[in-house]
Amino acid sequence: MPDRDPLDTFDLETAFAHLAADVDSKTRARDADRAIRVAGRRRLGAAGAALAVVAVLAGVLVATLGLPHNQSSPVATPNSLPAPRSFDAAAFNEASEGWISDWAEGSSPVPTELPCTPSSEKPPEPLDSSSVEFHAGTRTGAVHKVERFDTAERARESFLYLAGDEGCADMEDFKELPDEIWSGGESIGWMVATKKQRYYELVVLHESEVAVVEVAGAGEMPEGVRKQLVHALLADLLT
Amino acid sequence: MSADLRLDFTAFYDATWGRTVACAYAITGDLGAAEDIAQEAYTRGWPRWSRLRDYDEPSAWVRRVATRQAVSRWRRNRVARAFLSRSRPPDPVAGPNENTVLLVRALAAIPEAQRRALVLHHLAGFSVEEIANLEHCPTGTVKARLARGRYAMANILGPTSETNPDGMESSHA
Repeated sequence: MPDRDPLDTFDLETAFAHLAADVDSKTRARDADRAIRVAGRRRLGAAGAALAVVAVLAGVLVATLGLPHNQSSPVATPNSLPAPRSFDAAAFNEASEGWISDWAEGSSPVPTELPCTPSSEKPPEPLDSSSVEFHAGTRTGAVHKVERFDTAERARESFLYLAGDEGCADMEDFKELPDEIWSGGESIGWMVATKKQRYYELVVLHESEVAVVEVAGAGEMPEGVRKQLVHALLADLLT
Repeated sequence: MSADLRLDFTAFYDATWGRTVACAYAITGDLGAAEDIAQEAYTRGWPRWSRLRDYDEPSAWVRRVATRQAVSRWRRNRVARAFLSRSRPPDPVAGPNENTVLLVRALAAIPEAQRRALVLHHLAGFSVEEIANLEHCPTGTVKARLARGRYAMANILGPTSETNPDGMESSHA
């Protein structure tokens, strides 16, 4: 166990030990076999998806872009970070294959910012930031933002700030999207639907940079597209 | 994967499940969510198990994944909670005892960076250096967060405070 601080007058070790014992007595292990089965299904599902991509793109694109072959694997690992590539309309279209295919740079025709209230905390100031809007037809828009910080710690605080909305106006549906974690970074995402339209937000943290893409007015995002978008956002941070 | 590997993973899962859930619960304050997070951490661990099993502390990897997910989910769940509270009643399941609830409530009342440091150090068992590496900050920052977090927790739950801010008696005195 960690060393006790001699000035620590409150017995936190004991309190946490009681918490662990209490939770241990209340929780029932879900089942190791289930974890194994789910991991296996993800691998099989990803293998099928990878074959479909290979069929469409003749395998070349997958090798070039380093798209994930296995959904049970993280989007990136220390030895397999994606090749650096700017997140432009072409990259956006490729990542959105099967969801939206006609992205072009330019003002969004719809508000892209989620109708949510930010937390009362103040976000850390980035060293610099950029923002590019996209449109796809007359009812779908997106914005891609990047913030660079002086330290990875500040970037992480920004990442958590972006994940910390207090509530959303006129929300009719909410869905968490799967997380990704790799060495040096992670991603989170969610969908918020109002009566007017559906919003998606993906946030990617890598070392001292944070990327966000917000998409408004689109249909339901396929899981494969989410993964490819995270991959494309990370590739952009590596440029 | 061999049968031995599977048996080995199952034994590891059963032996470490409770502590992994506790780490996630201390951050999220939601036992069901903590179990989901723990299950996901083990699901991610299985494809890596042939390598993880050779680590000195394979459970540290699972706790690290669970803790990071818990922090992100806790943040996001401010929105989710607001939505779900309107959509369905809470599940009638037996929850943790009063002391545990008070401790988690106190954790929720202190700054998030201090909470992360306390949980990673005292529940997940990471050293100051390991936390500094996870949080991408100097060891001095982690030590300061731990010290301030302990002080804040002592003020909320310690012997000098007979009642917590909600007026409920604390039994940690």
